[in-house]
Amino acid sequence: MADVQQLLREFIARREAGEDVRPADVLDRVEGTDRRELAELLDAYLERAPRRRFDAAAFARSPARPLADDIAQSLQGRAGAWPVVLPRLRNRARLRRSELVARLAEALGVADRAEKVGVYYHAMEQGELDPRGVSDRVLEALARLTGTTVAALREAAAELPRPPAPGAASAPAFARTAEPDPDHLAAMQGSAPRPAEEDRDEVDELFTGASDGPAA
Amino acid sequence: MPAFRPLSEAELDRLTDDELVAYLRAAAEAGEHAHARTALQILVFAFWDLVEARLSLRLPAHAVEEETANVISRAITSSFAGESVGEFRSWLTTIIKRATADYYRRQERRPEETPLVRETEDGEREHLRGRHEPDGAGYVEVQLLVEQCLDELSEPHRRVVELLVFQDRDARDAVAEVPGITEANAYQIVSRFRRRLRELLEGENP
Repeated sequence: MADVQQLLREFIARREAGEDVRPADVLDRVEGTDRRELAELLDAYLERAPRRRFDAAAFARSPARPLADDIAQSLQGRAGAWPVVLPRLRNRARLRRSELVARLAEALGVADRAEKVGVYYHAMEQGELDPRGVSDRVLEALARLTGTTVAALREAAAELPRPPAPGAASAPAFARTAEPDPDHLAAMQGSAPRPAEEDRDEVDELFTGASDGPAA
Repeated sequence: MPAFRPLSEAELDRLTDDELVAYLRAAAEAGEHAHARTALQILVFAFWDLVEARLSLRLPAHAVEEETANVISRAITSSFAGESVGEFRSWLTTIIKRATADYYRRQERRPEETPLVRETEDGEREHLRGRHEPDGAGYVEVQLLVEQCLDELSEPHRRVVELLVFQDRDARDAVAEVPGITEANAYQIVSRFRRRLRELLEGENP
């Protein structure tokens, strides 16, 4: 049986040499209390470990990249952490966006206007829709479909302060891998005319009518 | 407020964790989005493997990537909202503990399962069943007992353990760096630390 300190030493040496070493690579070589001791030591090391140097090529291949894009989107959007949280909740529920939208529209009783629900949901994921305007009915349905709570969705929306005014009316500088549809973006940013009051329907009310509606 | 001063990628890489977070905030607050983006990329890349490895000690393998993203994004966004407390690393540890507890709570109220597929970039549906099969190696419960053991030590003894155990340095480095320590002392301190950790793990003398 390998020695715990020796395995910790091996893990540190391999990691700091730039090798892609995982805790399981050394943990699997011990059992019982040794295994638990090694896990505690590995965790304490990782809490203190030097961070790796930036490597643009490795970053481009890493799951860190989409996360950085989504956080950037959040920092510039108006919906807090929704650009980070909503796509991940949807993935956790193992739903494609189109499937989620169809189920959301059905749950809201507007199955015949799923396309419009899709436009609004897309804007929510992009951080382009003011969360204050989104009704609890929408969030309750979304929470049920994705296994979370209304409170958690509201909390995520409130996680970030509003972005500074400069550039707020322009297209996001933090481009995502998949660009939002320009028509949707324009509509959500107020550069396209909003539906006249008499043209607003239940879907508009559900997504923008909870308070004063979206800020222009 | 002092004017924002942009730094190069190499300069950003040399900042401490907390300096990098402060730079990111300053860039975003100044509306310098391209500079904020560079800092964000460096920060997320730097912490991805550390957080992923720590979560792999606590969670089943299929949950690690999603929770890694959750922890890192929470740590960064909360630093903007003034919610984070103290150093970024300590804050990450707090969020890792919360995320682990939340994960196991969530298992009790999972949404209705749907087929294990996801959409690929070209619109195809990819079956994921293999990723959700039971993990071979399993995982263990990490209780942060090392911190408890370290808290019981004096500052010089704590430093000796940090050097010899977590930086894998030689006892001679401890002698050079910590006043009043001999090589024999250093080994004894580490030995006592390890013994105490095992006592706690075995539930003796908590």
